[in-house]
Amino acid sequence: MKDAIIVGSGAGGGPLAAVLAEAGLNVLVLEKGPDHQPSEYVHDEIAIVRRDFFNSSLADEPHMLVRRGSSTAEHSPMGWIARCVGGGTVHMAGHVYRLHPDDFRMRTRFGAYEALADWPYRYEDLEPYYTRVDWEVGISGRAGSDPLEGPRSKPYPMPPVDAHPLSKWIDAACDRIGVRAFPDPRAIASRPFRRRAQCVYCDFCGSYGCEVGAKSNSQTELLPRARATGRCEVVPDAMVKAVAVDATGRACGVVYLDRDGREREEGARIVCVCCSAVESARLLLMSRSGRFSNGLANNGGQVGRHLQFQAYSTGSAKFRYSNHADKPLKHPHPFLGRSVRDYYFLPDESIAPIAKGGLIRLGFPHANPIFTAIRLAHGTDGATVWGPILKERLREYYHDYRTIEFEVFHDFIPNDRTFVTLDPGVKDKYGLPAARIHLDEPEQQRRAGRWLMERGLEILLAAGADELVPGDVGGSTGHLVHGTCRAGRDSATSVLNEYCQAHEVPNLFVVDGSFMPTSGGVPTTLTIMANSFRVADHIAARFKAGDFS
Amino acid sequence: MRRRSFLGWCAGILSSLLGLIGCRPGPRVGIHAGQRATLEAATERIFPGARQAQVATYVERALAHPYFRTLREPMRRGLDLLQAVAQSFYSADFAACDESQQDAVLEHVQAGNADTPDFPASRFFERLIMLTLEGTLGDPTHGGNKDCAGWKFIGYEPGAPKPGTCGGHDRHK
Repeated sequence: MKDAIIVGSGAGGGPLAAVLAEAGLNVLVLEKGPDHQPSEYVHDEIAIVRRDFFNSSLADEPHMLVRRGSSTAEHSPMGWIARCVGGGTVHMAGHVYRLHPDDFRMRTRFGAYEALADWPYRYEDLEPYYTRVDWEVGISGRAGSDPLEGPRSKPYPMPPVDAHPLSKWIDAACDRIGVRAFPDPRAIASRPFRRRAQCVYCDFCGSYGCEVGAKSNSQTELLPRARATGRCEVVPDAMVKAVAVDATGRACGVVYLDRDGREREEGARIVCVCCSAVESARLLLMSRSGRFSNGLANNGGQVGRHLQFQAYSTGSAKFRYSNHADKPLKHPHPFLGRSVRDYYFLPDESIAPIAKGGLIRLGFPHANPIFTAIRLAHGTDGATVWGPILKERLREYYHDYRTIEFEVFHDFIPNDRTFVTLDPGVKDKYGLPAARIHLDEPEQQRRAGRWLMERGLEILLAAGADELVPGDVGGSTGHLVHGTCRAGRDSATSVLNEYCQAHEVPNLFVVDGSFMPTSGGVPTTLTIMANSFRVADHIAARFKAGDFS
Repeated sequence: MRRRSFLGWCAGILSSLLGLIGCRPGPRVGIHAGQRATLEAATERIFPGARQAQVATYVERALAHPYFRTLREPMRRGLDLLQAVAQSFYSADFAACDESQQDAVLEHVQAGNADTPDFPASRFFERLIMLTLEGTLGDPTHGGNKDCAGWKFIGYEPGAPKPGTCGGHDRHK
């Protein structure tokens, strides 16, 4: 009998494992994916990016997607993040921003729109835990440089990672427009941090593992801490198929398939589900019993509802070498490293249904050449080009101009039409029902996205761009996932309380992005980690007080 | 025709065995010599220089990878289709057609004119473009990008750490 079983080892599971094991609990972490070693993190686009190194193929583990207005489901990577020890924190690019204080009270600030809701706690309640992530996981950044960041109790432990000399031109362009560019906070060690090496600026962050261990994540910082206590075992290749409940309706352990496909059971005083929002909901929905015939903690019918991704818009611009002899365009430094949060709130309600915007992150496109070539082949008008035209496009891209692009993160508004269920027919390679995602992106996304994209292009124009290239407007990222087990004070409209404890099952916790009532307008990995530290402190205190025994 | 295809299959099996024995280069998928010739010619039209960079070898080896197991049959079928369209248009093998004839065949397929309910040929062509670019710009360990020709063309160097031998880093193997 374990004190705690943690299902999943990423941004949600990592902090829990470290804090609970250090608090004296016996902890078992079950991770579906393999335990990769840093020696496997090679610079090989084919092996790492194009062969699902960090994820399963959709044939093995499908997500089924039903879009608005469609009655058929298609295989989709939406909602998948990773399958490996450390989860998505291993291959993330690691741009980590705090939510704005108003992200915690969207319903109060903007009123009734779609399914907006306030969080059950405030920014001030999470602030100490944001700071713990900064200092215990290792975040690099410059405190006070993000003009819309909430109050912080401590600066970052490390200065920002170095930036390309062109960042000065971006800063000057932003000055002229009247917005304030600030250095991206990164989950990357800009200096040696604890036992870890600093960044070597190799440009293989996003989609890759870091071979020198400079990425600050669950695998490099949190799971080693948990293991060092001697009280935490991390079992890879372990697929949990159900959370078991006893006759009183309390969680009593899990049933999982080991690496040889054998079914095993393990008992625990508490179970923490940290599989990412779509998969955590799926696990609860699969965990049916007499007492919970619609899935665990789902007698209120709330599990799977209010799924949110993050709204995502893009754009880019070309800077021709021949026109910019005064700029260090060819300098090989990988990070442009500038973000703008001045458009986090829209100036008025004429732009979109609610006056909520997002964060613009400026950078260089991913260096992956196959990815680049396929993007150039597809162009912006849909028809795929090939032959000498494609070869010339590729030559121009690499030899005639430098591209600066931006991505805008903005709110995916929770709504009643976007949710997760179990697919009635499709099963994964374990024989378990696949998650079925119903997706409807509210109007806010497209309208705010268009306006935000124009702001991004405006910055690039001010920086001297020769050609502006509008990108996607108001789409959704597939790998930032929230909702499905909403946290709230009212058990009739939420699954979890403010400590991510299930209203219906007192020793069940769901600790990943699932609890988030709203998505915010920045990437959310930092928030998921901070919340996990907060939940872990709460659970540790409850154990100390004699609960769960 | 039948005899050539039988010999072709033998050649495919033989190269697979050689691949296994040598470990690196890895196994290839079985396509016959006629399909191989079509593949070489088509990839060269998709990205000039692909023949020199041994993109066809990359494609054969990629198709042997478990990741592409569902793509093997569509690729064989697609290559046969290019050959059939070339025969019907020009009464010649695809590989023996001149460049403008080959382009006409590829454009015909890309436009969806050869799609049938049970075989979306235009999708095959999209996958062939993807595989051609992978073979041109991927790490030479995987069989294409010979002498880093693709990387030299764009001035790209991924730097260390490079992939290990025998794909030891690849969890599918």
